[in-house]
Amino acid sequence: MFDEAAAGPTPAHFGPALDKLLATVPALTGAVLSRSDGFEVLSRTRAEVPVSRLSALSSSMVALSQAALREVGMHGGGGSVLVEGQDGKLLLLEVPLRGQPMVLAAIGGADLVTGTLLWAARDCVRQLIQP
Amino acid sequence: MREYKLLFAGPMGAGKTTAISAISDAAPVRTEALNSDRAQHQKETTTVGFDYGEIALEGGDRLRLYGMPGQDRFDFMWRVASEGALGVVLLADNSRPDPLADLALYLESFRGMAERGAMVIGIGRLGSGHTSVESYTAWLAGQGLSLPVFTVDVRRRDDVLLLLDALLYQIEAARMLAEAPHV
Ligand SMILES: Nc1nc2c(ncn2[C@@H]2O[C@H](COP(=O)(O)OP(=O)(O)OP(=O)(O)O)[C@@H](O)[C@H]2O)c(=O)[nH]1
Ligand SMILES: [Mg+2]
Repeated sequence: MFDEAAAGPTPAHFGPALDKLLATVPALTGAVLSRSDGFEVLSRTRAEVPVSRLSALSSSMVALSQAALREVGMHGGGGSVLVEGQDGKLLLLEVPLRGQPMVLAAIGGADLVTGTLLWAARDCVRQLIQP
Repeated sequence: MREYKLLFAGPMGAGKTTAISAISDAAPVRTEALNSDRAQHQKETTTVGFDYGEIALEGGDRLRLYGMPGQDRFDFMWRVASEGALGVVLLADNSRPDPLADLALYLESFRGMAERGAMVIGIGRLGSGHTSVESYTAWLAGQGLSLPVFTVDVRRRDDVLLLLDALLYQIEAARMLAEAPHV
């Protein structure tokens, strides 16, 4: 099991950053912040979200996407993955925190405009990196 | 030309990523992330997606090798990668306190391949633990499985190639048995 104490406390500004994201985008179902190796750090949800499984999936998908970018000769620092289905969308953003990279997952319904989601989530990442 | 999709599975730190990079023709695709669970294993990074390597065989056949993440929260990847896989190399780390208990989860998750004989076991760090090769064989037999068991150093190319040879042999033997006319 993951040892919370060994990894250190969650920085105090993470919670407010996620709160603001959900407040800014009412159509968001939730946001989940995870370490790049798939452990949940913090989440804010308005509905039932399988947070720990989403954390693991998010880290896999971001890592695989970065690997795909590398294969075609591009470097993906600060990258993102957008997954869309008929019922909604899932946006994954790298959070390049020094010493402990993380991934932010934002889940929204089908009516959520992708541009709005991208803009708000990127803003949240900026706050996570520079409080 | 035949293509064989093969998996490397087993617990964190057993050496799946190391094994694939030891034998792949070109530098493998890697999906390592910083390991934040140093209590589980001291190593710097851990696989969160999959490793991917290839080996071209004589005659144009090709091995496609997928290294699974060891940590069980990535078990969805095991299921996804098992799709179309012909066999699996299960790596054990004998330096762990109870290496057989560690293996149980992976044996269960890849049970289908184990039951049709498409699995070989590679025991790493044999000398750093107290579980004998015979214990592994007996443990497998206790679960109704008869599978080849080898001791390996995953950092050595020849050791890993031997595992793959054995696995391909197992797969071929199972195929011939399945195709043989019933009498
Ligand atoms: N000293 C020593 N090191 C070994 C031996 N076998 C493997 N290793 C080391 O153990 C480590 C195995 O790490 P990985 O290849 O990342 O393990 P993995 O199975 O891919 O782990 P996850 O992806 O985290 O599940 C590497 O640093 C190897 O060099 C051995 O017999 N002796
Ligand atoms: Mg690995």
